[in-house]
Order: sequence, then structure tokens, then C-alpha cells
Amino acid sequence: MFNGKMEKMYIFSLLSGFLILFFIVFPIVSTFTWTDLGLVFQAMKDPVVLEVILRSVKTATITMAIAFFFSVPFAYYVVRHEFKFKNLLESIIDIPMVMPHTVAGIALLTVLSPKKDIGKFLAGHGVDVLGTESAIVLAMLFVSISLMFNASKEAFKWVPVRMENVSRSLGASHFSTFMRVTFPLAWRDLLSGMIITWARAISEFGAVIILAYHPMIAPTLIYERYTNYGMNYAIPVTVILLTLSLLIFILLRVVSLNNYKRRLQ
Amino acid sequence: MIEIKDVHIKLGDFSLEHIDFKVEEGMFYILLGPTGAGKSVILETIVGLIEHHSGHIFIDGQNIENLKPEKRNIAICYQDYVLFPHMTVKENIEYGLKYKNVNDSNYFKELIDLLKIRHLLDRYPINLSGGEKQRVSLARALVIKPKVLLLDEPLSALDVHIKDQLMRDIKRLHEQFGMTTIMVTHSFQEAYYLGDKVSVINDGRIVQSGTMEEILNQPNSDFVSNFVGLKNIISSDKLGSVFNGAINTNYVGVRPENVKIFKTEIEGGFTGVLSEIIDMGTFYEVIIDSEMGILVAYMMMGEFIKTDIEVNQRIYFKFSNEDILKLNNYIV
Repeated sequence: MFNGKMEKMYIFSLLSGFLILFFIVFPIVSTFTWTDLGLVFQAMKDPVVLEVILRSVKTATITMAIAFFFSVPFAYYVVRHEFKFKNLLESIIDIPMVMPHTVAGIALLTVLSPKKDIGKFLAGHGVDVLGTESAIVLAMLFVSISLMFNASKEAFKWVPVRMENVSRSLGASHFSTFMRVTFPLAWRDLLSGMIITWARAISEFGAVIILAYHPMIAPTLIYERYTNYGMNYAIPVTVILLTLSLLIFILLRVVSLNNYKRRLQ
Repeated sequence: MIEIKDVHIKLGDFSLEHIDFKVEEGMFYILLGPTGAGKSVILETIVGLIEHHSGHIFIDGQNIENLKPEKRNIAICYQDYVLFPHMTVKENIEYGLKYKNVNDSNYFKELIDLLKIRHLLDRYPINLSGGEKQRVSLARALVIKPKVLLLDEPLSALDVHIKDQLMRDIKRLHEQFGMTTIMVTHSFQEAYYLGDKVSVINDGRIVQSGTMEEILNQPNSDFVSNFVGLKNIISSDKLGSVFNGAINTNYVGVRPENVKIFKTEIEGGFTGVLSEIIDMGTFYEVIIDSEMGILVAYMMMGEFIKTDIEVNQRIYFKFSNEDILKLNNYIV
């Protein structure tokens, strides 16, 4: 009887799983089948499309590098120390994840606007942020840095502090310990974090268009082509961006498959 | 020699106070106490991983408080081995050699042979058993020839037969290389077998220090007597006339294994009611409610069956003059 009941439960579970998979996979497959491949290749030769895709890749990569540079050291500190308001601080870093993206863009605009202090200061020194690739990077960074920070935290949490203690007691400095023990054990998770951050950055649209509709990135171009010319013009660029995202996703899965967690027993 | 002088450590709500002991060169020192007593914190303070708030730590007369952990030349082995999972056994063992001026290949060979890990050198930690991991952890710590070796419950996570084997090997290592060692344990058996001297720790304080014999035969409190298995502490005035004259301390102790149980009255014996019998597998723990208080006796299985006693029965018991430990410093 018990087994019978469990099976009924599993039927619903499997049905749910099937619906979820269908919900995700069908639109993706449908996107690829909407247009013929010739138009996609043609779009890839379009200098505007190429420029926009390259800009997307470039700004997302810069965003990822900045997020990595600042998140990793801070996450390491946070994981290894207990201090007052630690939870509050971690919650603050998570805020961009729950903010609607256009709201994030507006929030950044209130800071960077030439009418406000920082924007005025930058404008006074000849630095125009709005409508530049710097603005794109700032928007991407705002919405993705929490991912890099959280991934770094998880990466370092997994390396037992006792392992670092042993290393230091054996004569290794803190830095040497980090390079020989902590980083080799954390790098796969850090890399996963970098890829997720990159993927999040390249897919950003809402915050970016508030700060920089031009120069365009891929999501902006897709949006523009869709609103001005319709689906047939938007799909080829969409397919290119989607392919790029899927390739990154596959890379992420491969990277995270083999890691040392299994060796820590 | 390492000397811990009146060290105070505060960790959140928990604090260790008046930690004070001295370990002579080549000595095997034990910090004995229950889980949560603060023993491991003391080790991590000695290594320099936890800051102490007052007091001093000296090695060979040199104050090491301002030295970073990597400069102290103190190696630590943890209960859970913490081998580097991305390195082979050989790479693990050689890890510290990069930082130390130790280039003694004979010592390396001797060490891995003594620890019986030569055949494991090319393996990764995931492919080792618990006992093997701890042997590698010991080799990794010893290969750098530290001034002091700290062992944090090194046997606690192991199966009984592996634990006994490794305990013997640790003793042999210590006899062979004579390294100054401080080991933390909650097991009195481990402490007794390995230790030269011991400090018993409870709730952040050292409650008694001394040689193993002193701790075993002269516990100074209820906590220590319980810890060393001296379960019967009797007020001397309750012993009656049988031992009068021979006792000059307020309290005496009698080990449960020295309390002999009889079904019928015996000369020079005491009486009580058997309140509980606990089957311990290889022996029986018998609880007696007597005029001296609640007493515990151990009876081997054969002896128990032969005596044929049961709960709520009046029984008779005795112990000899030689079995009475006069407790000079016992404080209730």
C-alpha cells in the first residue's frame, strides 16, 4: 500500500517535471526553428549585428572581470570572519537580485545624472558616463555583482578553515596558503561564478537601456528590431545571442562536473 | 620546552581562564576533558590561530605571541585529518618542506616506514581509510621536525581496532623521535597510555594537573574522579570503625572494580540495597544504595552469575585497606 501511495505521488512529480521541461525547452527550440539558418548567417555578416554582439561580449567580459576583482577578496574576508551586521551586509549585496531591472537603471541614473553630485563631478572632469560603454558596464555590474559575490562565498565556505590552519602551521604564509590550498580548491566554483556573472551581464536589458540605449548591446538591438520591424528581423539576432548563452551554459556544466568536492571525504 | 602562562582566551560567550602549564622537552602532555571544555581552542591559540587576551606563551624561553602561525614551528594534526584533497599523499607530506630547512631523506623514509604509508604515496586522500589518513596527517606534521607537535583528538574519528593500532604507533613514534607533544583527548584510556603529564580541563579551566598517577590516584574533585573512573568517593567518617586510625583524610576513593559483592553477611563488610544492575556487555555495573551513599561496583560476568543477586535485594560488600585511596586534596 505504501509503495502504491508513493507511486501516485511520483506520477504528479514526473508530470510536473515534464511540464517544467516543456515550458523551458519548447520556446528555445521554437526560436531556433522560427527562421531558416541562412538568415542567421546573413545576420552574422551584418556589421551592425556583429558590432553589437562584440560590444555585448566585451562589456559583459569587463563586467565579469570587475566583479571578480572586487568580489573574491571581499567574499573571502566575509567567509573567514564573524562580525557585527554581517547578515545585514550580505543582505544589502543581495538587493540588486530582487530589484526590477529598470528600477536598477533608474537608481543608477539618479547617481550618474549630470545634475547630481557624482554625475556633475564626472561631467566637470570631461567624463561622460551616460550613453557610453562605461554606462553599460555599470548597469551590468549592478545587476550581476551579487552573483559573483555569492558564488565566491560558496567557493570559500567549502574550503575548511582548518585546512588553511594546517597549511600555516606547516610554515606557509597566509598568501601562500591561499595560492596553494584555498584557490586550487575554490577555483572551479569561482569560475562557475564568473560564467554565471558573465551570462547575467550579457542578458541584461532593463538597466542598460536606462543608462545607455546607445551604443547598443545585443538585447537592445533585438528589442529595437522587434518593435520597429517585427519578429522576422529580431529572430536572427536572438538566435545568435541564444546560441552564445547556451554555449556558455554548457561550458559551465562541464566545468562544474569535475571538482574536488568529491575528494573531500 | 613550551610554557603557557596564565593565558586567557575569550571567544564570544565562551572563555578560557588561567590556562597554565609547562611541557618539558620531549614530553607527551595531555589536555584531558569533555567535549566543549575548550581543549582545542588552547591548541589553536598555541599555534597562533586564535588570539589570547592575556598571559604568555613561551617556547624555549622565547615569547612567541607576536609570531605568525607559520613562524612558530608548531605543527597541528586535527581529528578530521584535513589532508589537502588536491594533492597526493607524497605531496601532502612534503607540503611544509618548502618552507622549512629540513632536508633529511633518511628521516623522511624512516617516518613513512614507521607509519606504514610507503605504499600510499601516490594515492589521493579520497582513496585512503580513516586510519591511513591520520597516519599521513602525522607524517605531514612530523616531517618538518616541529618544535612542538599538537594533536587534536587524533584518534576520536577512528574505529576501535584502528584506534588501538594507531595509538601504539603514536607511542612508538614518540619514543623514537622524542618530539614534544601536546595531545587533546576526552579519553582517559588514551591519556593514560600515551601521556607523561596531564591537565584536566572543564568548562574553560584547568581543574587539575599532574602526572598520570597523580590524576588517577589523587583526583581533586568530583569531576576529575568521575573522569578517571574513580566512581566511589566516600566521606571518611562513614567508613566506620573498620578503617579507623588508618584514614587521615576527609575523603577516600574506591574503584568500582575493587568493591566485592557478597550475598551473605561477611566479617568487616558493609551492607546496602542493590538498586540497579546495568549490563555493560562484558561486565555488570552494580549500583548499591548504602550508608556511605550510592556506590558502584563492577562484576565480571562469571562472578555475577555465581553470586546470583537481583535488584532490591540486600547485599554485602567490602573492599580492602589497600584499595582505599586517601584523597589529600579532594574538594567537594
